[in-house]
Amino acid sequence: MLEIRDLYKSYGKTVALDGVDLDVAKGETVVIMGPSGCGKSTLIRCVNRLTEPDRGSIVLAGQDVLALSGRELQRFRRQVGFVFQHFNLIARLTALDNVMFHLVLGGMDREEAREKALDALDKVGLKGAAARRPSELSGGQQQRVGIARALVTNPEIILWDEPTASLDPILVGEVLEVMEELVQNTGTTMVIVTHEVSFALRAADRIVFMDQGRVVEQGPPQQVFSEPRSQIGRLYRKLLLN
Amino acid sequence: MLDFFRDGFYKDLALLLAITVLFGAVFSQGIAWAIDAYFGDTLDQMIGGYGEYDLILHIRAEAKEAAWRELQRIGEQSFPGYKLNETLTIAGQANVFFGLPPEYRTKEVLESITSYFGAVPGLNGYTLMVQPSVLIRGVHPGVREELREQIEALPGVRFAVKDGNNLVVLAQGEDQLPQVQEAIEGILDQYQILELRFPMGFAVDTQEVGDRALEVLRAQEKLTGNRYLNVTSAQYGEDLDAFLKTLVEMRDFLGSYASKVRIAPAAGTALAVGERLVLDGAVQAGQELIVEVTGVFGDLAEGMIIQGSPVQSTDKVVHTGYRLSADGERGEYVGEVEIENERYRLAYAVEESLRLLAELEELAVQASAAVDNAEAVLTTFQEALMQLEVLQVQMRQLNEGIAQSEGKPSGEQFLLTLLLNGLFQTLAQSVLSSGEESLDSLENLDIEEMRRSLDGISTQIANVQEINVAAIMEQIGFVRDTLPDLSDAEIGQSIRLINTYLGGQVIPGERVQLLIQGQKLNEKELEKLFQKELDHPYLHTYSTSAGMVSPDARGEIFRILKEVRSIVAGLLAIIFTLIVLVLDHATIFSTLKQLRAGKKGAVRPRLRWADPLLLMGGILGSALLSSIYHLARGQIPFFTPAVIAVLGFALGVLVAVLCERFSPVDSMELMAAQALGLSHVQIMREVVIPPSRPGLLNLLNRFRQQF
Repeated sequence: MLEIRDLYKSYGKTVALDGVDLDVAKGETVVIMGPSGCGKSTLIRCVNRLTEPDRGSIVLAGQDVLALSGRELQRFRRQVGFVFQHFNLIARLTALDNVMFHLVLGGMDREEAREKALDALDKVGLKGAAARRPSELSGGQQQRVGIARALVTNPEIILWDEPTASLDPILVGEVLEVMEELVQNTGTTMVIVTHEVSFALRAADRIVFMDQGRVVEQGPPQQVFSEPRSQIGRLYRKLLLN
Repeated sequence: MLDFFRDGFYKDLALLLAITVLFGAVFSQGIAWAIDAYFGDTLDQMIGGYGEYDLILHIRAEAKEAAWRELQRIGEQSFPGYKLNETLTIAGQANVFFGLPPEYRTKEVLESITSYFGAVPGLNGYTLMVQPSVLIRGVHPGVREELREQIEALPGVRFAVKDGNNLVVLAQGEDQLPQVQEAIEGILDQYQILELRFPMGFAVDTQEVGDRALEVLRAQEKLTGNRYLNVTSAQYGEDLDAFLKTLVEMRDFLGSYASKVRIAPAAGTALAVGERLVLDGAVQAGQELIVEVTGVFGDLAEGMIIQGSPVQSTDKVVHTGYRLSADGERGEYVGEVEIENERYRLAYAVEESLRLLAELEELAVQASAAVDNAEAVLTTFQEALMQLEVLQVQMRQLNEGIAQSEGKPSGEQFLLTLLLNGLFQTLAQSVLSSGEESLDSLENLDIEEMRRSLDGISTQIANVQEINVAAIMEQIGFVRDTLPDLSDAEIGQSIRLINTYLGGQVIPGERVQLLIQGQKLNEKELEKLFQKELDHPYLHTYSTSAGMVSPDARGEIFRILKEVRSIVAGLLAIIFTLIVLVLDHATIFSTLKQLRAGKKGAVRPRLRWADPLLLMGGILGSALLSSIYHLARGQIPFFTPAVIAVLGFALGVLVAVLCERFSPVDSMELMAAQALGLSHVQIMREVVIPPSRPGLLNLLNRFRQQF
């Protein structure tokens, strides 16, 4: 489904990605973990070209992502769901509009888009808050709107960029619950960047540890947590055991 | 960066630019027009419509009511159908408009305004504003009549009226004004006044120098077709020149009338101009004599009495001088101060002259009487001398008779002879010095010559008596009485006051003015020629026109209003452009900055100023400002189209640099919109512009916005 090869990205003298190789199979849920600044977010942003890599290749569903431009790139992005750490909702729009507006702008009939959006909001348990603006919602609710927005197009892959990192610990649970449910019920390919070790253990098909812009270890959760080979793996194991 | 515009936003931007330019031009010109219209209407209310009034009479405010009554009387008596209107009173001067009925707008009336209105109470002057007219300012008196003849012969011209140094040319109709003005400018263009100026202090016979200068000009081969005329007679025609010259003369007179003060500073004492000295010694009672130093010349200094009066003496009076401090304290000894009381000397000389004349009259009378007496004595003396001569002859004959008589003379004869001789000798001695020889010399006296001399003296005395001594005495007495009754202190203060006034004025030197008709001359090229030929290296040449066409008073106001309108329009165009850049374009620049943040390769610092975004900002700013400025008909002095383009470029660059401060864009919303696969135009319309600052971009976007 997703093949990343030899991906490099630097910001000036700071190297964010240093030759990353990663494969994600269709329907697989891959959790990427690692310390802050190791390049996790950069990696998934490169996947939908929110960040332009310096070199390497990304192939998603047979498409050379880095070769896309203009309308092709826009069309490609519509196939990729993206959940942001800071929700990134449009502040002036209601929850419903936030979920449906890109469908309408993509050419869908407004009523159909509305139905789909309400359905997506229902999936995240926020149908009743459809008319509220982001400022009227809690952080967890805002993130669930963000998730509904990513889900509504039935994307081939959903990229999650630390979806709980900005949330109050009390609210993290409701988001993780929605995420787990989606992982289990939708069968959508997911690449999730998170520090939630227990979530990773429960939901991930594979865990990828990154450090200093490189993939240092990857494997099934039980494997990487029971017999970690990397320093990062050992640290996360310790965290899990605590 | 061009990708950003390619997917459709270029249409939005093009529409925005077009509407911005249009709206900006309408806004700028509209407000400028409103200002223009407001002031224009206000002026119309103040000074009436075009041609409604012909005169502005400037009247002292306190005499306004009396003047108004007089103007009504003049109007009713001399100009039935007149119009009168009072307008603004500025700085104590009321301005009254007077409209003549059309039949009275004649050359004769307009040239006789003073005779009609001269007696209006409080009148300070007037300004002609008769319409339709062309005003020629500063017409040289030497060419005025010549110009007037030519101008009055022009088609479309009714007549030309002299108004001070100006000529007011009345056209037959308003629509003929442009061609009349053009024709007048054509006439004026044929003339040139070449002025030769000499520095102050050079005495120049302007007529003679002017004639020589004309010869120099005529000798120039390349200028043979020109006509030259010396029009120097107009010198000092200007009131100010004459006034300044009078002041200078007055100052010089007062300077020579004041007491002469010479200061001999003591060894080691330095004096400076402006220092004050207090004098000891003979002064008039109850006064301190204070002198101000007016000049220092090596070991000597000159001064002027500014307080007190010197003693009245024809002799020099020497005082001891002490420095006077600013707070009036007497300082150290500075030297001897010698004062000559010129004023007293003059008064003394006048008094003595009067005495002399009185004595002279009396002397002439007495001399005349003396001459008459002398003549009478001379006549008597001449008669006596003749009798003596007769007696002498008779004596000689008697002696000869006695000697020739035969025999001895008788005793009686001898005694008679002795007696007669003795008597003769006594007589002769009583008149003359000695005997017979003296009598001979008496015979040799030229009595007639003496008489002629006495006649000459008598004639001269008569001539003296014919002199009207009484009249002379009366005039000298008049001079004595009219001599300024000023103390030295008052003279000093007056001189200082005049100097203060003159200090702020330019006193022209002598000047020669030449009228040149035909080919224009370059005065600077001729300057050296004149300096050489007229043998005057300090001479300078200047060229002026014989007159200058300028708008009339009303036209001038409207011209200024038009200029103000253009300046206001220009300023508004600049302000509008800046506002538009900040409100609308800063949003676009901010978005572009955000979008390229994640792109490959950062801009190198050295290429920072070659940043395409800044370039785009500059070009947009330049295009916007140039277009709006041009369409709004903005015209700010020194702001050429190039300057405007550069200014617009600078504003655009400035806004591009500071765009994120002026109009920040939510980067998270932008990123979400990108991630959702929205096109750039959709991002702008749905995400960026709606929450942006209210402006044209925001307003126009509302018609396209779906959410």
